[in-house]
Amino acid sequence: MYRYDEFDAKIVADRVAQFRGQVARRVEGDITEDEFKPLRLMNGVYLQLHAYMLRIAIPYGTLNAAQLRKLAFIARTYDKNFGHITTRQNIQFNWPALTDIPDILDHLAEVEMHAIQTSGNCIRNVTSDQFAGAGADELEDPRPWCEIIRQWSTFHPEFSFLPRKFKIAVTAAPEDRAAVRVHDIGLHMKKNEAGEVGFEVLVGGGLGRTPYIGQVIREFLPKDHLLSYLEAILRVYNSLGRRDNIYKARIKILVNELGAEAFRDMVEAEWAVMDKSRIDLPGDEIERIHAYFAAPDFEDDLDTGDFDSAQKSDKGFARWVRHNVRAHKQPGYASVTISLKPTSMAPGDITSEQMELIADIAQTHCFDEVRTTHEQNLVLPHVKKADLHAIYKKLAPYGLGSSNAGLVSDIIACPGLDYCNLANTRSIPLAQRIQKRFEDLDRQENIGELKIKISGCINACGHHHVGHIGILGVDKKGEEFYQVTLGGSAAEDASIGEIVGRGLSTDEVVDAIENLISFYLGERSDGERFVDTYRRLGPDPFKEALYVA
Amino acid sequence: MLLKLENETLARVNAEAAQDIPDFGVWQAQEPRGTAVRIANDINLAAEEFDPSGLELIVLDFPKYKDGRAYTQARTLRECYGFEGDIRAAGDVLRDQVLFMARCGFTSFELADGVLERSGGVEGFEKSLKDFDLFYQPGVKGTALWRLRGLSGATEKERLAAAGIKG
Repeated sequence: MYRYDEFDAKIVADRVAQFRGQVARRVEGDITEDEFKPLRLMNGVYLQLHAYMLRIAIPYGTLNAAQLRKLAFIARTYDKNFGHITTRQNIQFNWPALTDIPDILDHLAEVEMHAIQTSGNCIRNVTSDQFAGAGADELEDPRPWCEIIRQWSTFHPEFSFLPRKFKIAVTAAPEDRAAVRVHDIGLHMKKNEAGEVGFEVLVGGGLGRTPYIGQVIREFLPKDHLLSYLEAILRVYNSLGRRDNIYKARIKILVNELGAEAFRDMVEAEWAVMDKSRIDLPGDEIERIHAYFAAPDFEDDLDTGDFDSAQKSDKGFARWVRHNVRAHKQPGYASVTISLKPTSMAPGDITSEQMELIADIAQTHCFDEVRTTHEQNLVLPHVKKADLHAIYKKLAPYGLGSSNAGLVSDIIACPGLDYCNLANTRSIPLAQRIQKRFEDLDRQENIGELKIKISGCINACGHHHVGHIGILGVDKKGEEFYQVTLGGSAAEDASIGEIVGRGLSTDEVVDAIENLISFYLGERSDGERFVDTYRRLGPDPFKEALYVA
Repeated sequence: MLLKLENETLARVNAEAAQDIPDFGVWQAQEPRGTAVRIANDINLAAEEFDPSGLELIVLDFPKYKDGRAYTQARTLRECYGFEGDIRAAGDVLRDQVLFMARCGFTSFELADGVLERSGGVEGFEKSLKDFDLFYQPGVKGTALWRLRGLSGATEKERLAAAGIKG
């Protein structure tokens, strides 16, 4: 993974010093709260319902053991002993005191971490495929390009006061695990006819109040010109993006008001006159960054040890292998999804003890690497198959052995009304009730892949628009109601779910989800996932099924 | 209240206030055209027939400090039009944005009443201007870090020195 040189380290240290001064001036009353707000937001500090919240960047979801241990220390020392993995692969702490935050940032800087641009109307943490560098299906590791974007976008002088927040995702596999089609800019690495790898550039995707699937504005962008092309897109957006209405300020609105072709023409015109050599990185710098992401020293001709026999003797392990273990490009290795969705916890929550355990496992078994996922889980990207049973046995006693990756209980949920001052409804308790209803593992396995995503308000932080089943919380005269959408997807077959029927009360909603699933089980053909059956039959029969008593 | 940036330092200067400088429409109609213009932030310079030769001062506006359109205007003036005169930031100009402004090509800053007093004075603004001395990307002011990294064979001290930092 990327390691800081003396320059990166100095920039982060300077940022901590700057923020310490800004907090002191706020405490003195020299800065108004209105003036302070974007300064703290650009350093990941939100004011939530009950307390300040600090969101820490995990660039493209890559962590090492020392970093995870530091996060455990922060959770224990400054928070209530847990952190929360977000849908941008970041981690947030819900209970720090504002005056402690500069100290927390000092601790983070010791392990090359920060909270830079995890909020605010700027370019946010760039996200990627959690199996980058491990998946057999990728063209190349997309993370060097993520790191190049991270550096370019950090304190960009021109793009730190954009009309609205700006999110970029990069993937290099045909199966899109980074949801690039629902990002402000999605970069999908592809080969052109000459066999060269470049970027397909999508613009204007996004969720929120007005969901859109991104549109391709360039089929193939040579890799070397990535930064100048991004700069051209951002420049058009910064000039023309709407600032009169916060709900119409994202680039998706601009792209759809202008039309994708007109928008593309403006970007291309800007790009044509730009001095690209000033902005694009030279080859040796691109190589320098790539060198940090060289594949680890995989061993050849590995024995798989007790991998097969343990699956026969340990049914729990066998189930975990079926759902949470994934093929690796290197024979003898596998990638593991560590589920943060056991029935008893808020989706994505992780305790200090769990972080420390995973840090130990990463160090011993996984080349010192852990990933966070946008589905709010963790991944051990490169482990020997021979070590899997031992890893499972270490994880399970800590509540980390749930065999539900991709299943009905692997729910994405926003923090909801339990934490957030924008939310209309609670999300976490609903996720827990659905998990409880489908607790039986055989039943979950029989249902198969099913992505449930819950947002506690129209801002869609729980990505409900792209859930196979999406649930949106709405407030009706002070009462919590839930609106169900069906058929969404954030993957390469991206689609926005359709609203079915009226809002459901808290008492009705879990039964309704069960009705939908029962209907699917009765109707599915061989190998069909829930979303496939929905797409084949259309919304009407599902709408009827929703209300079956 | 106007601060002018020269040789990395800020100095208080007296000059005509932004509100007394002709706006873009008035300036375009002038015959001959004056040497100063005030350009609203919704004028897209990339789409205008615009000739800045003869101009000594261009005032760009921040109606609210959160409205960042003038950053793009300033960079466009410097990098596409090659404008070398004074670019002044006017409106809601605060100490915490002054480094971003300088990096986009602003060279003077017109402050609203009371801002300097609660910002630690000129020194406070100068301090914010020096919050960072290393930059990941090129700006009108400030060398991109990758150019410094590219100094092959240089020691850490030499590379920091190239960035203007005493080791």
